[in-house]
Amino acid sequence: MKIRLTLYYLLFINLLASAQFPAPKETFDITTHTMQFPHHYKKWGFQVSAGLSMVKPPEDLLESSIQAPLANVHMTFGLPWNLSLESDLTTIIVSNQLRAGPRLSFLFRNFGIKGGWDIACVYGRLNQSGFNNSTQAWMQYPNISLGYKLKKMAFTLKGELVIVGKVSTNSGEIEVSRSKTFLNGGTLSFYMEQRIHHNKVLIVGLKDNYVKFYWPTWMLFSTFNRFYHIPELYISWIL
Amino acid sequence: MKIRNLHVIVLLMLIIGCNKESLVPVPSSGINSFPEGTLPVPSISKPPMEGIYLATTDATIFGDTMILKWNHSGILFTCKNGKHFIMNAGYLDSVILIQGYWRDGYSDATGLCNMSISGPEGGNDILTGKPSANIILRGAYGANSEAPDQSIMLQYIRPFSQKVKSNNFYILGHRAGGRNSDRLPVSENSIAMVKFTERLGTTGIEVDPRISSDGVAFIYHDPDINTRLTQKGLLAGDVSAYTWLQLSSFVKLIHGERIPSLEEVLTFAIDSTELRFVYMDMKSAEAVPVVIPIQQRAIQHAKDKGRDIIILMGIPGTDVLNALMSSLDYRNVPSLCELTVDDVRMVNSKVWAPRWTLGIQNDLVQQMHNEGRLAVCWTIDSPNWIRNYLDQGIFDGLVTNFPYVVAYHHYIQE
Amino acid sequence: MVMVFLSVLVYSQEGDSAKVRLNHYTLTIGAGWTHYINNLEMGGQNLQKDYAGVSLKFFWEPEHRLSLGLETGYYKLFMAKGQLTDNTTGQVDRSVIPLLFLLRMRIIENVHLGIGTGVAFITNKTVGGKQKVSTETISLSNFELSGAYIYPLSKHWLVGGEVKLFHFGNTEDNMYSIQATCAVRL
Repeated sequence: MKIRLTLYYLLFINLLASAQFPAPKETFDITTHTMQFPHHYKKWGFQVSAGLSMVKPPEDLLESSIQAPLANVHMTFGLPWNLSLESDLTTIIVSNQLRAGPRLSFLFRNFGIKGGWDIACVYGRLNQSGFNNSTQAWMQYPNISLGYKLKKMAFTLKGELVIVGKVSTNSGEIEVSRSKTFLNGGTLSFYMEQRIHHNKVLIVGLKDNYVKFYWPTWMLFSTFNRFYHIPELYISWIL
Repeated sequence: MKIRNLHVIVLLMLIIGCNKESLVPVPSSGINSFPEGTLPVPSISKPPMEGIYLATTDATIFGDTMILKWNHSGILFTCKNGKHFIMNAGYLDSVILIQGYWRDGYSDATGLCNMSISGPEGGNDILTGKPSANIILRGAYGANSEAPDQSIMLQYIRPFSQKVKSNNFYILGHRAGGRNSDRLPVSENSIAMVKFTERLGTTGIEVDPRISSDGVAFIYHDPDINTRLTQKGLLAGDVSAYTWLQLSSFVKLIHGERIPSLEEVLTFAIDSTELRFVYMDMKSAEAVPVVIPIQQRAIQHAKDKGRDIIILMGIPGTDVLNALMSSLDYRNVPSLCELTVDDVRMVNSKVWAPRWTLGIQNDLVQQMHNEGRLAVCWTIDSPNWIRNYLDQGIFDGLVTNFPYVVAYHHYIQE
Repeated sequence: MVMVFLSVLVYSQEGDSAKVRLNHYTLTIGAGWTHYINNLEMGGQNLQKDYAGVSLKFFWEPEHRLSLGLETGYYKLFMAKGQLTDNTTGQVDRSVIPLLFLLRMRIIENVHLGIGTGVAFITNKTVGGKQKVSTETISLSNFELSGAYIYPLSKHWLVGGEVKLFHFGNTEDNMYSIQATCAVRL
């Protein structure tokens, strides 16, 4: 009871405070400037964002994983009938992933929902301690996003399954390991989008990968068959 | 309200991300819980038990066949798919009791297991040291620390082949026998691991010598002190910058053991195990002049104890090669060279150790054999490739993180 | 948490341009108390965990709620002195210089929340076991969470207070700091 009263009090104080700053008319609406928030993307409209992801790998993977930010370019292309195409290129030089897939989006007042299915190709190459290692993988990401927007800010919760179609790792001429289709786990992400400068929008996200095969650390996959939580902090600027 | 929930999720993600990966629990109640009056299995009873067994009940998760192999401390059952049983045995009257736990080397699955061999089903023969073709093990296995509730029955098929018995093949455990990332109950590169590793099927070990700032050789894999290898403590940074007293006082390995000196490891391997091969994978060229006299003392100690054990200085790169060649009488330093066969000949290494991804290389291995040298390759972990190298290669040993898989494919050979 | 989000909900309806905010840069210095969150599994006794720390931040503050910046500083994490283990005496201290990229968001007037990530240079000094040793470690996976109250004294000068929580990945060290800040708007 006490907690509820406190909440009402805080809400009251907030409302009171906001009343002292009468909002002027402003035409900006975050919706069309977002990329993660589900909405009806402008037909034939093209958006690009560029950003970085900082990853905290689990200790099992620390020994040989490359600790550097993942660089990312994300693209959306609006299509008719609430459809759009999304594509994403992520790289850490020795590991690269290109993924793309369609989305179907709906917007109901402040709430948005979109679903899609991405196909991804991973390619990596690492010459380390005389090992000329490389990998190729095909993956699929069925995904769904739920969004809620305010006038100048949008929040999106995105969940996706990660299905590995094939992972093949080579060392020189030898195929060290090959795995066929398996459910690799899933990811859960939370994104916040809002203006940074003029009407340019910045995306800040937190993502938890709960997977066995985390593609940036492909060099270690062949001997680890367990799920790891791998968090990412994502910051991207919509250009 | 929804937004508040999102915030909670975000915070939870952060917390989860910061958590240390949990260790696979070793179900301890399975070991040393024999009934009162149980006696150790006599030595004459061990060879008749060893061999190939057929899993004849519903224990399909372990595959069709298993290998039973005694080791210094107990019994290893190993399966084709990386699952293995670490068991102790004793006998009571005419019944042989076997208890312990199973693990999947490639995941975190584990559980308790108990089995027995009754007198009429082989126990009587085994206890008198007679071979028996009708050994049947009956028992149950479970998941995690729960009481075993799934039945398992193993039927003896055959002993190890003559090829296996006559082949002096080395199964070399990486990092003194096993890696931390495989979530073993003891730390990599520790005395406890040297003691434990035979239970995984190894007959030799690879260790990683470095030297402290005051010239003491110790074994430790990484160049820095980190929480992957050690309990979080007061020291950080370059491990070789510290004195031996500082390292032994302030650092504990992940399961609480001290960092061992190289001399301690070699002495323990000689005195307290049946290991037959120690491969010192030199982590720094500066350690070479320090390690040579330690190696000489250990070889002499093994000779004095009548132990059949090879102790070799590993040469992983040209820096160590040059450091070795700058020492007097380097051709008489027993060494293992990871470089070319020409380098092997130049320093007169006893063993050539190419990395496994260079291929089976039977022609070069045969050349080494013709010159009276051995050849082992490192570090091979994939079950398919292990089988391939054992079937088609002529190496004298393999370095691996999964010795029970190598053991399975080695001992099952006909 | 509830307070923060209610505030966001309410104030996000407020026009950011109500008070004309210009695109500008600020330079902030901070000084205050730091506290090491002791998660040592060994040698955690006799630990001095409270020190003074300083920080320096450079921010680009565009006209809206978000700001981007760089932060550095100097923090002593801990010092252990005396009986460090059952049989060893000595002194160990650890300090850190972070170099972080920051993203800061104004959630209500004068109140900001921030996150940061980047590199950290960790120095460990050990005296004991008959020798003095100093090691440097570069930590690549580091994070910061911060909350700040910044009050403008004039067009160019601002003062305030800040609470920060740091995580240094390489050594798994965590600390928080409460600092008074003074900023000049360029």
